Amino acid sequence: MTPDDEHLDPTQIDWVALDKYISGEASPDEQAAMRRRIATNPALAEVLATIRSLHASDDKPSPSDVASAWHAFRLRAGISDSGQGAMKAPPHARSQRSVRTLTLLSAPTKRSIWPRAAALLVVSIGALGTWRVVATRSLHHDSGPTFRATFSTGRGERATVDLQDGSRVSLAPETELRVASVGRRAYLTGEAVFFVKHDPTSPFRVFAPNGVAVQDIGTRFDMRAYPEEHTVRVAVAEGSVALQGDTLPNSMTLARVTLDRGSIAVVDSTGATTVKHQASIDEYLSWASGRLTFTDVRVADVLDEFSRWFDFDVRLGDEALADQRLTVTLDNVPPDVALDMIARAIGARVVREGRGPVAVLYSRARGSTHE
Amino acid sequence: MPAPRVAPEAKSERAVIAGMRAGDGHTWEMVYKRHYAELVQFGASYVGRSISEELTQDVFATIWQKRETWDPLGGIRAYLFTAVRNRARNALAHGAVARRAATVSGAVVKSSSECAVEVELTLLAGCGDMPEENRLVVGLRSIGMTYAQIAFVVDKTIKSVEHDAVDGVRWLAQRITHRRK
Repeated sequence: MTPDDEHLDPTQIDWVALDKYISGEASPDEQAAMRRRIATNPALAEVLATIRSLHASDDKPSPSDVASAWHAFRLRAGISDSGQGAMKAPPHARSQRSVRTLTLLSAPTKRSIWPRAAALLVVSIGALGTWRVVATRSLHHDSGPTFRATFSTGRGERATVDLQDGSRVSLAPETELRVASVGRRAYLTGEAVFFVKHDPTSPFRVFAPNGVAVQDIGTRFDMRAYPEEHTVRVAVAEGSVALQGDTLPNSMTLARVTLDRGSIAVVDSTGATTVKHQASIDEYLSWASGRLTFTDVRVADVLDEFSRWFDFDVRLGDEALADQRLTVTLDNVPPDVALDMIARAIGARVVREGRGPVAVLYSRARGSTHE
Repeated sequence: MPAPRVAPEAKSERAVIAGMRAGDGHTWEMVYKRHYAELVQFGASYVGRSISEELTQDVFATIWQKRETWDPLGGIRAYLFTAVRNRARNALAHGAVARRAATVSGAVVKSSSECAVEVELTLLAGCGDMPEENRLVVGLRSIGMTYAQIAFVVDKTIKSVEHDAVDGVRWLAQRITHRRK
């Protein structure tokens, strides 16, 4: 084949040499020789261009995509800057096929007859990230309930728990659920979605820290009771629940109220209850599948939720942003993407601080020069 | 008795594997960032980018969870590609995602030459017609994988991989030559 031949004579091509050139294994001399042939043979150039097109360029993540993915993985694995960590429940996992073992700690008590470190429960997490209690030891108290299991999540963590009665509970970040040894009773600090298996002979009851209780009448509902919020919120997606008081503090009085599907009730620190109804309350439960929905919420409150959800601290460089109202849905996105979405929606820009998950939002409108 | 000879590359890879087993964050970050983009790109040829990103994250998460006993036969890179490929094929087998067909660009190709437009469309279509096994091997060769690594990924002998690589390129050359006549 002559150098200016526009066709490829298969009998004249050193295919092995061409393959080595494609893979980058050719020596410098071999590469130079092949480049000379390519320069004078359009057909050969076509072959190489076609091979390169096997991997579409738009399928290749950019360096910032890689950095964002690494950050999401690092949070998921709990890898600190020092390089160690243990696997945590993924904050927005679409699939939870992994199996791992988690150690549960018993609820500490003031006058327990058991040593604090004695009651360790080993829980195997099976498919779909569900937890099953495989061994229990009870603590005995002089007063109050005894617990056979405690489940907890930290910042940036979620988990799903299958209870022995067939009910299922999804735990939001920074949530603790304690399951009583006797009866179908659970004690919640934080937020959880309950899928309750109804048993009319043994109602399922969930207690908030201040004694507000929800009793299942055959339901799926979300209950939110973070102590720092000083309220208890219940949103009912299916069936009915009864909202009532149980061992309330003296400062509270609470009248029993039944909540049906579509009801959202908020109980304040005095026991005053407001109830509203919506056709769809999906936004109150959708976090259990990794979708955070904010509808006309203060930016400051959105960022508090963001920090808890992603274990990622965000503060405002311009306080004027705090009271802006925001409507946004964050659907199973990594924290960097979520923060960018929030920043764009409120006309702010993100400035990362250091290497960890810390950022500051500055208003673009005010033309801040801070970098 | 002299210590057994170890290739420099193998020795450094063993050190990397040891670091990953120990859960060293810096080693994990290095391996992750070195391979993530090419793994996503590779998996995307089966299931599209979005699913490939999920599969790739799952692969790393699974290795992390069993890191203390992780033993990547065939080397780190070959192991990762194999894992992504297996997950992608499982996703396709279970109908979770439609097979990503070879595509011809739907964008309008602005060119002053009709001949140039025809060539571009043909180029994109040509790759999709290549036999699957050849396409896979040629694709992996184009990102610099060795015959041994590819042999691990596709579970064939090194000699078979060599044949598939050469046959793939030859098939493409013949196709282009035929079109040009």
